[in-house]
Amino acid sequence: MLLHTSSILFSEYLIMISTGILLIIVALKINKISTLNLNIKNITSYTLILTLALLYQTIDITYINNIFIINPFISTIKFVVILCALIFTFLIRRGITKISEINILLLIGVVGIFIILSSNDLLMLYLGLELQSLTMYILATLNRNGEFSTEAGFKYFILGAVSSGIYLLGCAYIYYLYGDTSFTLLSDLNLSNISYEIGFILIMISLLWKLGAAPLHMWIPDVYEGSPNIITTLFAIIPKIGIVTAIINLLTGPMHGILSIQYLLILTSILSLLVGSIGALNQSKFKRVLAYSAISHTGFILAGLSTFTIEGLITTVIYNIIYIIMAWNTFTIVANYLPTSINYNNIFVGLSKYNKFLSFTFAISLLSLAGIPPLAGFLSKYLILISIFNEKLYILTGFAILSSVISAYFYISIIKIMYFKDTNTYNWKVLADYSTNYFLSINKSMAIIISASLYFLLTSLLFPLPIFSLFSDVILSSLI
Amino acid sequence: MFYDLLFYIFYIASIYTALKVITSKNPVTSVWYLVLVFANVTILIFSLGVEYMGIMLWIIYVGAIAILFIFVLKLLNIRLVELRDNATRYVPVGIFVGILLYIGLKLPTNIHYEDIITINYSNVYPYNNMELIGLLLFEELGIYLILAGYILLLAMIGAIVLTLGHEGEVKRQDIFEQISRKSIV
Repeated sequence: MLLHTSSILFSEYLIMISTGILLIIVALKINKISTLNLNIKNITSYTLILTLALLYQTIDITYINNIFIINPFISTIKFVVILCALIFTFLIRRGITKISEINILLLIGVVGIFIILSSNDLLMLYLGLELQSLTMYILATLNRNGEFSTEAGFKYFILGAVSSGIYLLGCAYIYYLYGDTSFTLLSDLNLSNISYEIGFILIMISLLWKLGAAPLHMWIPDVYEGSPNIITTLFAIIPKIGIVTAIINLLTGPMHGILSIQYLLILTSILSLLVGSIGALNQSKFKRVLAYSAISHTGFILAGLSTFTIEGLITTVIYNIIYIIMAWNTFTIVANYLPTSINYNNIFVGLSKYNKFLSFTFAISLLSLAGIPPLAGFLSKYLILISIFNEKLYILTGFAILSSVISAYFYISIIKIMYFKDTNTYNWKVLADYSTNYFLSINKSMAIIISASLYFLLTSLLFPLPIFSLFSDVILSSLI
Repeated sequence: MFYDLLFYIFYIASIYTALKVITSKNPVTSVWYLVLVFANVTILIFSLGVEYMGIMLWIIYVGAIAILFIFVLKLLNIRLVELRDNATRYVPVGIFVGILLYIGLKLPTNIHYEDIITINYSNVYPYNNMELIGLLLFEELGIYLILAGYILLLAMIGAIVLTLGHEGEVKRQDIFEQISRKSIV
């Protein structure tokens, strides 16, 4: 009986068991006891591919006393998360992530995100949040050779722990008032008074803190800048999709009628848009620019969520997916490819002379982040703007357009540095190699990631139907 | 009547010891009064019938957190003179935080009792607190326990990943290498 009702967790079980086996293999390798020639990275990839096969569910079910839930929307998001984790395994051969424990941490992080996605109870959501956040705290501090990375991880840990504390305070209020924490029972309530909503507001504040929305955004630039480059790629992509889906599950369940949550989302969206666009103007380090742009994209996602309509939810999820593709492109080029470990904007000087294809790709991905028309970023921003305009949130629309215009400045300034900046004065390496027709090459796995995401960026506006129909089908069939 | 008197004694004692925590001059005295606060509150919780909560409070707060405070006090170099001079600087902020906490506790007080969902296990057998928690946590909601253990496993892995890694930094002995000789055949 237990096996039948727990079959919903089969994909998580598979990942957990394989982490156990990987732990044993890693331990044996460290002690040099065994002579197994197993490639741990391959085992990780195979585990992730197998869980793809187990994700196929066609019915809406809730299991184990209404703690877990599965519907097609959640299965699709799990598919996206596993794809991102698989692509991440291509990158982990280099640099600080050569240690074999990175595979175990990646798999445990994926388990944490699965639990967030398929949780139907406030406490199960808390356990999933902690599991995923702990993995990210450890990954942020991997570079122990200086205090920069440990400072970033320390800040992330302290602020993440405080936000989890606020989440638990909200859960305590809800349990005190209603006697239960399950989403299905909480969505049938009739909330009439502000004192009933305080628990939900606290939970929403804690999730917004973990997402990095302004005014709770101060940790994002420092954490993105201090983490090792490969881990920054992971940070920009995986926690965001998990927490946005958790917010969607909450908004369509327990919090479905609360006006204060809508005001909160509109307010944080406007602040995130402003902070993200204005904060990046004076930055001279590129990873911080990317962090502030992540904040402004979070602002767009929250704008889509604050409409409280199904069209808003569909456009939010499409925006998130397109942002993931753009982030793969940008972060792989920048964070994994910076020729030295220097982070400044001027490192891109003369890239158009070193590698024409790479500079073209980078220019396309920056223009897509800015939202210029024939690219995918325009599609997602257009959908969000249409949905908030139809919901009569005119001030929010104005701030979104303003933020796009201001953020276009620092994206295009990078393109200017690449193509038009004088190479004789900035980079001493350029001086040394200027006469020898120097070509900066990329390794194969990064080239595959960059070119695949470039393909999606260029053709999304021409053929948007696959993304549209997939996400509108799964959301309409599971969240109404 | 007698039980009411005991309740009031521990109630007043917990408030008194809490006040002594924040007003005592010596930080070690503060920690000692903190332990007494936990002791008084534990007795109050026992009187409510929630023994598991009381035992957990005692073990975790006194056994782990108060010990942590004592370690931190030993590591820091606190001078008693500057503590005594600046005592009244923090009273306004303290009152402000106290008002916030009071509002936070008084806010959800209009409970509509028809909205609360309760599961009543006492129709079959009057379980006491420990039995009920054991019944739920190990059978019905066992997945919570397993996931909490998994988080602990992750914490252990993280501690090892972050502190043990650069094997070149630590000098180790390789006995085989030390005692082996070149063989001349």
